[in-house]
Amino acid sequence: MNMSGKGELTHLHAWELLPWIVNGRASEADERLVGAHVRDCEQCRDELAAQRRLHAAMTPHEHAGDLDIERGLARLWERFDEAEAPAARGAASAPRRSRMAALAAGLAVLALLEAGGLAMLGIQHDDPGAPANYRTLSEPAAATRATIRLVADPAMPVGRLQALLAPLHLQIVGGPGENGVYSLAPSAGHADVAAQLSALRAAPQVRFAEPVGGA
Amino acid sequence: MSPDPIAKSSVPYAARTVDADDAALLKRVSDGDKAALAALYREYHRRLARFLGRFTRRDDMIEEVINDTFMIVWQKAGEFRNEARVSTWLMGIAYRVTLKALRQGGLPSAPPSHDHEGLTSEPFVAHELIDWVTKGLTRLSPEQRAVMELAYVMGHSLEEIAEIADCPVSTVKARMFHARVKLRNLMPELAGLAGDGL
Repeated sequence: MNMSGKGELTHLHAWELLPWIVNGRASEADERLVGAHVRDCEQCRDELAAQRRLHAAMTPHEHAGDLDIERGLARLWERFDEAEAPAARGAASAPRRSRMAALAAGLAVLALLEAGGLAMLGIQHDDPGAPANYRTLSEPAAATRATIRLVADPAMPVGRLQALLAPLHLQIVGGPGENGVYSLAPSAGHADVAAQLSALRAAPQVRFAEPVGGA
Repeated sequence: MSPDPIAKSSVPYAARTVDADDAALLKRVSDGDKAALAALYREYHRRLARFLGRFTRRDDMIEEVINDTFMIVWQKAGEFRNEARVSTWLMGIAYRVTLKALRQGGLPSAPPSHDHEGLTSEPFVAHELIDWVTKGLTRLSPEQRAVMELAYVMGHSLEEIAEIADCPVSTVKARMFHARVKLRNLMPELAGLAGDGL
């Protein structure tokens, strides 16, 4: 192709811009330039047609997938929890688990979510004083779900509180937060929440004991 | 064929008008608002999944890279400057995470599915060409491949790709140039079939 220096520059410029002519994102000025050029340049016309074919071959062949956005988001929160509360796993400086392990944990979180009616996310967002249930991921799901909120007398020693909870098959799964609220969950099997509440309320140093919504 | 070789095809990438809303969300994210992060996640998930779906069919890996991206969005939201668009800024993070995953072999590609349902809208594209293109793209460097995907599948302009890839426009042109040459060498069909169409 015989071209002047300027013509050759225009040719190279037009040739470079062809993909953005094809995808419709070239500026109007570039579009005019390329449009004028391809009318006289067979090479660029061929290349433009080839790029259009390439574009057409790429766009219909997309992997639609069946990714669930909310499931992905739940896994993202699980990773947040992992990053924010390493101490709860007993290893503050432990390296991040492998990706596949994280995925497995994500599935476990899903199970918890289904069992807990999104309680985990609710706790995380609305009640920073009560750590989310993920902290006890390694335990059976039934035992990790907070069923009771409790406020004890600040003077009550933790040991006495534990002594009160143990016979009731309750364990502390969160708290106390700034407001002094503990989150309690059954430590074994199915629990009679009403009976546990009665026993707690009867204890002298318990100020407040209420079921967690839905428990 | 159209008498005008530059006749506009459909524009795959509509200019966004909600960038101010996104910037407000990102500001909230930088203040530690997880609900704002969730809103951005829901807004951009489909677009990122579409991009990543070009590299792998492994849904778990796609989700992993998307979540890697949003972990970084959470950490770096405060570094966003309003001279950029949120969509481009976020895509830039996804681009870097994707390239890293590609280099580490974390996005295993899959053979073409031979599911060409999309051809109903592009009936003139031969199945063989689609399979060749799918294979040919895997022979490009991650950077070359990404530029091609960002332009032809995601519909980004030259300038947007430069911003996403954090490199000069001339570099984007060079990567695209080499990608085109390599694909043409791998696929004579691309030129041959194109010639038939003229």
